[in-house]
Amino acid sequence: MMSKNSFLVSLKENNKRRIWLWIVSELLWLFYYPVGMAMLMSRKMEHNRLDGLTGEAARMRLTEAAGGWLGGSRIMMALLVTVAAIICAIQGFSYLYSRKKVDLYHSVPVKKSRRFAVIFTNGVLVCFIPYLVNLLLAIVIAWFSGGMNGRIFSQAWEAALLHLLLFLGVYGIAILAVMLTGNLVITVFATVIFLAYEMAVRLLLEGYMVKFFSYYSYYSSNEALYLSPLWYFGQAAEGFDGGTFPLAAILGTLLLTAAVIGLAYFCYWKRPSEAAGKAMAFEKSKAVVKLFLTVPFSLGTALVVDEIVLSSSVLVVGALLIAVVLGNAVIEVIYEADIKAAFRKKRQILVSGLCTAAIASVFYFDLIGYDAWEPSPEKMQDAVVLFSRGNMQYVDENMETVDLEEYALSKPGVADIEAICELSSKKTDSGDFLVWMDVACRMKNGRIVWRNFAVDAEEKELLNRIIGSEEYKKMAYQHYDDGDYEYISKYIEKQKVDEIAFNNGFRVENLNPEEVDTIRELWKKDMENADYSTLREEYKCGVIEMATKQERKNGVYHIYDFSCDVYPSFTNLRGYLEEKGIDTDAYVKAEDIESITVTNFHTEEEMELRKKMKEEYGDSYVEISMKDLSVTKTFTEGEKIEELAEAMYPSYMSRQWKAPGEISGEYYVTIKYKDGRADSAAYRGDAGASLIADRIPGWLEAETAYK
Amino acid sequence: MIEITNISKSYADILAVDRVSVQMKEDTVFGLIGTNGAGKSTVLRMIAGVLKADEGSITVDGISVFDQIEAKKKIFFIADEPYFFANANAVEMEKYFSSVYEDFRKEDFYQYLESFGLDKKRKINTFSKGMKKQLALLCGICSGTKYLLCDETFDGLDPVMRQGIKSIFAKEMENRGLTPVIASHNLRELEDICDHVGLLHKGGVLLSKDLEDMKCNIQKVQCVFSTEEDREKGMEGIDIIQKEERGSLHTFTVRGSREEVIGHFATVDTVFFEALPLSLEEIFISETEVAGYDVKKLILG
Repeated sequence: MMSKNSFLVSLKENNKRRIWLWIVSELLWLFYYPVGMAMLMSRKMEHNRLDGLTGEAARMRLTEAAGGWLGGSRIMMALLVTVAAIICAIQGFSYLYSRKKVDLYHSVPVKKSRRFAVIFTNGVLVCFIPYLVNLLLAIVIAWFSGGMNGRIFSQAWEAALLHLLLFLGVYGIAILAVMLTGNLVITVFATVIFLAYEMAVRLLLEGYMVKFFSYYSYYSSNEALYLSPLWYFGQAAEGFDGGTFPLAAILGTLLLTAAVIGLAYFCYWKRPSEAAGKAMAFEKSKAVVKLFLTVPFSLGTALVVDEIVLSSSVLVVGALLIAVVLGNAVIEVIYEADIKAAFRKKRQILVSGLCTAAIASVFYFDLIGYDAWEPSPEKMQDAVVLFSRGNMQYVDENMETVDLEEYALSKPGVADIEAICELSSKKTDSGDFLVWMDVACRMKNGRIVWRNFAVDAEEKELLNRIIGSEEYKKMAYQHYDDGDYEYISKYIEKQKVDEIAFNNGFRVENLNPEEVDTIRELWKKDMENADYSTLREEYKCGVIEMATKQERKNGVYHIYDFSCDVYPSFTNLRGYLEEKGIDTDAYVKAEDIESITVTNFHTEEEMELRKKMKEEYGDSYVEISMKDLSVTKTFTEGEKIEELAEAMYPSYMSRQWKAPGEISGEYYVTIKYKDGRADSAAYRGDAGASLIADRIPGWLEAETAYK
Repeated sequence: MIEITNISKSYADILAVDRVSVQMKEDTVFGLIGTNGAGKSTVLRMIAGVLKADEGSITVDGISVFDQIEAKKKIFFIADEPYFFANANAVEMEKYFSSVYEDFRKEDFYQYLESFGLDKKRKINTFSKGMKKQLALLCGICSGTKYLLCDETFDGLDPVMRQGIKSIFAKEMENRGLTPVIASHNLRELEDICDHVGLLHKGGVLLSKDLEDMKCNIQKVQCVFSTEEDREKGMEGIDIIQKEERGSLHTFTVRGSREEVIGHFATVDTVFFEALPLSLEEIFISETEVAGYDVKKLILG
C-alpha cells in the first residue's frame, strides 16, 4: 500500500491536473508514429506494386522510408519535441501565474522540493510515455509491413535518446523562463529569447566585426552554440548519422540541462509567491534583463538601418537612440502593464544608452585595435594560411569530413614567421590583382588570432616562401602529407577506387585504379618544387580526380575524393600520363578539330547600351528587353583553329591565382571534332572554354565585331 | 499559539504590513478586522506560509512557518477566493486534501457536506459563491489542522449557514482545540463569532484585545443630573471616552468596570440613571476614537 505522502501519490494527484496534456501528447505521438508510419508503409507498398518492385528492392524501399521516418535528424520531430517541452514546462508550473492557485499550493504542507520534483517528473512522463508507446507501435507496424531491420530499430532508439535529450534541455530552459516570469505571454517570450539569445548576440557581434573591422576573418567566428539544446541536438544527430556515438554532444546537452534545471530549481526556491501575474518574478532581475535585451536590440537596429540607408551616420545614430528609448519604454510598459510607465525609469534608459554607445564605439573607433594589430615575430609560433575557402575535402583519421578551419588548425603552420609578418605589414585593399588570405597566427601563449587581408599579387617572393613551404603544402593538400596519406591510402585500398581519371576540361581519360599510390607519389614529387609562381604563372594541363564511394546506411554514401592539379612544370606526372598515352601538351590537338565556334559577348558595348538606355528611359530601362549584342562565328580554317586552340582555357579549370581579365570573359568557345565525337568532359559540366587574354588572335575581334 | 512579532511586508514600493505584532491564542476565535487594503490578507498569507515576511517572525506553536512543513501541517488557509481544481467536485477536492493533510477526516467531511446540502458529485464551478465558501470551510474544518485561517470567508454567508459553521467551530474547538482565525472587513460579520479581535489599519495594528475584556472595561451610561453641580461632580474622577448631550439627557461612554462606574454615579444626585449594553461596534468606536481614528469610516462603511 502506498503511503499517503509517497512520491507516487503526489505524482498521481498532480497528473489529475494534467489529463488534457496526456491526451494531447498521446494524440500527437499517435498521429506522428503509428498513424504516420502506417500511412507511409501503405504508400510505399503501393509504390512497390505500381513499380512492380518485389523482393529485396521492395524491402529496401520500405526500410529506407521507415528509417527516414524514425531517424533522429528530422527537423519536424525536433520542432515537435521542442514545442512539447515548452508546453509541458509551462503547463506544469503555470500555477505560479495565479494568486489563487499559489495560495492553495503554497499553503499546503508539501515540501517545495517535492512539488518541484513531482511537476518536473510528470512533465517528462507526460511527453515520453506516449512517445515510447507510440514509437513501439510504429516499429511494430513497420515490422509487419516489412520495413524494419536491426539497423532501423537501433536508429529509432538513437532518435528516442536524442529527442529525450532535446526535450530535457528545452524543458529546463522553459521551466527557468517560467520561474523568472509571472505570466504566460512573457514566459513564451523568455523561452524564445533563451533559446535564441546566444545565436542572436553572436550574429550581431559578427555583423559589427564585418562592418567595422577591415581585416575580420570569418574563420574567427565560433559557430558552436553552447547554450542551445537545439545545437547539441544537431551535433548529436550529425554524429549518429555519421555512424559515430556523439559523446561530446550528449555530455554537452546533459551538462547544459543540469545547469539550467539547477538554476530553475534555485529560482523556484527563491521565487516570491506574490510574483503571480506580474511580468517578472524577481524585482532585481528587471533592470538586468532590460539591459541585456535593449543593448543588442539597439545595436541590431543600428546595423539594419545602416544596411538600408547605406552608411548615413546621422540616421544610424538617430536609429540607435530611438531604439534605446523605444526598447526601454516597451519593456517597462510590459513590466508594469501600464503605458504611462514607458519613460518612468530614465536612469535605466540612460544606462542602456551608455552601454550601447560604449559597445558601438568599440567597433566604430576600433578601440580594441583590431585592425591595427600586427603579428609580432617574437610572440608568434607559426601561422596557418588559407588562400581560399576551398572545395577540397579534408578528413580525420576516421575518414570523417572535418571543417577546413578545424582541419587547418590541427596541422603545423607555416614556420616562416618573418614572411607572414612581412606580408601582414604589406596588406592592402587597392591594386589590380590582390591575393586574399585568411591567416591564423598561432601565438606562443596558445592564442590564435585570425585575420583576413590581401596583398598585391606581385609580392611573389613572400608568397613563394609561404606557398612553397612544406607546412603549407601539407596543410592545403592533405594527400601531400605522408602522415595523413597513410590512413587515406589504407581507406582507399579497403574501399576500392570508384573512379580515377585525368580531366582537362575537354577530355576525361580513365587511369588505372591500382596506381593511385604511384600517381600520388609522382604528383607529390612535382609538388615539392611548386610554389606561388607555379600557380600564378602556369596554366594547368588538367586535373587528376580520384573518388571512393562507401555505403554507410541505406542509400547514404560516404564519398571521399581528392584531386591532383597537373601543371606544365610537373614533369614526373606528365611523363607518367604520356606513358599512358595521355597528351598533356595541349588541351585539344588542332588537327582533330573540324571547327571552332566563338561567341563574342561584346560586354563593353552592352554596358554602353545599358548606360544610354538608362539615360533615355530612367530606372525603368530594366523592363525593356535588351538587344542581343553577342556575335557567334564558326571558324574552319586550319590556321585560325590552331591559333584559337593555342589560346583556349577550359571552363572547367579553376581561375584562382589568375588576374582579372587574364582569362578573358569576353569570348566563349566550343569545338566540333573531325571524327564527330563529343567531349567526354561534357558529362561533368561545361566542356566549353574561354580564351587566355594575351593569346587571343588579333583578327578575332574584327571577325566577331558587332555590326 | 500563533505569534506574530513585528512583521512587515512590502509589495514593490507599497508597504502592505507595517511592524505588526499579534498573538493568536489557542481555543479562541480570532477576528482580524480592517478595511480593504489594511493588510488582513497579507497577514493571513504570511501566517499560512504563502508569503515571506520582509521583517519580523511568525511562529506557529513555536515553529517558524515559512517553508516549514511541520508548521504548515497545523494550518489550513482559506483564501478570499478559494481555488478549486478545474471541473473538480467535492470528492476530488477531498482526495487532494487527503493526500496532503495526513489527518483529513473523510467521514466527517461527507457528513458535513450532506448536512449543508452540498452535492458531492456536483462540479464546484457550478456552485454559488456562498456554496464555494461553505465547501472551503468544510475542507478546512475536516483537514484536521489546529489552525484555520479564513480570509473574508464569512462575508456574505447567510445567517443559517453562519450559525451552522459557528456550531461546528464550537464543537471542533471543544473536541480538538481548533483555533479559527477569521479576517473580515466588516465588524458586524464577526460580532457573534469572535472571542478576540485585532484591528488592522494601513498595515499596522490599532488594537488587539479580548472582547470580554473590552466589554468589561467600557460602560455606557445615560443620566439626567439634578443640578449643574451634580453634572460637574458626575463628570469628575472618571475616564470619559465619549459624551453626548441631548437637552438634559447625558450619554457617557466611560472606561472602567461596571461596578466602579455605577458606584461613581451613585454618589451623584441624578433624576435618571441607566447603564446600557454596548455593541461591539460601539466598543470599537470608543477604543479607536481615543487613538484619533473614526472607526465608522474604517470598518462599518
